[in-house]
Amino acid sequence: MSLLCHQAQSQRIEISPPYTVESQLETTASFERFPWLLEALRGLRLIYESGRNIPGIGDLRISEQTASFVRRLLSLIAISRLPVPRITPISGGGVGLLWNVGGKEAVLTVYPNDDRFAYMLSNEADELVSDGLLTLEQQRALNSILGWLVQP
Amino acid sequence: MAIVDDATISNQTIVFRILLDGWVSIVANRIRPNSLALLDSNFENSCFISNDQSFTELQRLFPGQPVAGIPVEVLRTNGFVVERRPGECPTDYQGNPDDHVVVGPPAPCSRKIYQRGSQAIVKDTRVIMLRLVQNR
Repeated sequence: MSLLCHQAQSQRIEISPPYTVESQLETTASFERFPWLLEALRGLRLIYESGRNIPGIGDLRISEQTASFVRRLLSLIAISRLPVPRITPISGGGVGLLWNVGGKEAVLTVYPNDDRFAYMLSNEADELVSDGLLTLEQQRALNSILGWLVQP
Repeated sequence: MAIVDDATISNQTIVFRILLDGWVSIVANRIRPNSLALLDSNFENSCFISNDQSFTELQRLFPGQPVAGIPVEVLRTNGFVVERRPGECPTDYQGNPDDHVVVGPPAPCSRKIYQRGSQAIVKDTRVIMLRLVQNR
């Protein structure tokens, strides 16, 4: 091993900052490529900030942990031509995302006490055609599900 | 908490589920509760037994809100049950607290089964949609 190489190794620094950071450039690029994303994040923020417990309807407060899960979920979607999803609280601290494209409907649900998200797909006749549970590690499956929405 | 079906509530009874605007969709030219309207992370949703008094009270408490009228038969057909929970009735509800019910599956079930049942209920054509009048 050369001295230069040894010095390079010994001076190696930790490149990951000890705090969560998102590159501004990457964020901007994502918004340009996925025009629905900014509005979706705004919608999430709105329900996060306005959430309250309404006796007779349900507890619509969303935890930071749940909001973070939804942000990560949205960041995994790599389909540019999706419309902006409707983002709505689910009673009991959950979040629902709903897309309707030409009569086809996709619903994703996130619950505060579950590290999986559920999906339900309905066709133009309003019939359930597929449903299931996924984790955030199953990005390909997520995009396949939502890709069905925009298939001609 | 498990929900115990109340046999004194007939299948013909309608229960009102107060909705958020985001829980209403227009699908195939029909306005109906969407798939998020009858979901809860604890698998139970608040509803109210329909009668003249409860309608008046809901009108007072939730003016302008959309409401789904769900026949109990539709709930039971899809695996849900109905239990009176007067102790969980909103404190400012001035009607009979026994009007307040929770609906959901009677025993623990998977999230997938729960959501299927919930979606089948809101899609049922016997579910009616109302909107409470906005206060003037």
